[in-house]
Amino acid sequence: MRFERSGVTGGIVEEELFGKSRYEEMTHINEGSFKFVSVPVIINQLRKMQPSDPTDPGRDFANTVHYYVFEELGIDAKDLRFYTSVKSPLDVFQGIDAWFETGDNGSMKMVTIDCTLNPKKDEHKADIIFLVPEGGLDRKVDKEQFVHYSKKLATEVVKFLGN
Amino acid sequence: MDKEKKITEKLFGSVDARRRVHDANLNSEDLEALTAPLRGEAKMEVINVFCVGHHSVFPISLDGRTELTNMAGAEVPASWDGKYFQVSSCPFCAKDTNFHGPVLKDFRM
Repeated sequence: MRFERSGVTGGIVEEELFGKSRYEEMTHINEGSFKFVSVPVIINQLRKMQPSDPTDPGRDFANTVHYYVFEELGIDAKDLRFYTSVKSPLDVFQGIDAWFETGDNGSMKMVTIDCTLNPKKDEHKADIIFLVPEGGLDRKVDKEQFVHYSKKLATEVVKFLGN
Repeated sequence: MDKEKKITEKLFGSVDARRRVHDANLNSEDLEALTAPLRGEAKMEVINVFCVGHHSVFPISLDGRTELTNMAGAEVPASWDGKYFQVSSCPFCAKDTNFHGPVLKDFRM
């Protein structure tokens, strides 16, 4: 699934971005499970709670994927934003670990990611299920593997953001 | 924390609620958020919460308003105009993803 918004600025854009009715229609999720907070509000809050600059992610892996995606899309690094939602209500209640965004008012696109170790995982709410190796990914341990998985996720992200 | 979550956190980082300022005083940005009209659509955004835990203002649902009113032990006011809840922590910054210590307040007072 992918959500886009159109032509609205200010505090209500997140509602426009996710559009409650569209959200519920597409996911069949009862928003009451989010502790009384709507998904657009959660998204907006999480944007303010990032550990690093969304256009220059602090974690090596997120930063590498970010690089491959903006290169592939042919856009400036500042026009691609990465947000982690690990340890947030979006993670706890939706299983969404992170998302990428491009564009601005009227042309915003976002794609959500769920990391898993389970190759048989079939129930998910995120756009992309990213299967990671049991031992994790570390450039210092296995650079080839790290790059391979970075490019693999970047390719998936581009599929959603590039259209 | 389970293995999958540890790996995910290493790859993506995690939300950092504690980066926000712990300050119980409302600043101009908070007041602007509190006084902005709520749309109330689908009964999801009917009253604001000011969370001291990660210093942020955000709206909650009608069910949330009922829950926090009960938790606060507050009387249901004749009018909700100007009212908001102050909480010590919330789903964004509490480990148990619950609201804590709600107090019903009025930003006009």
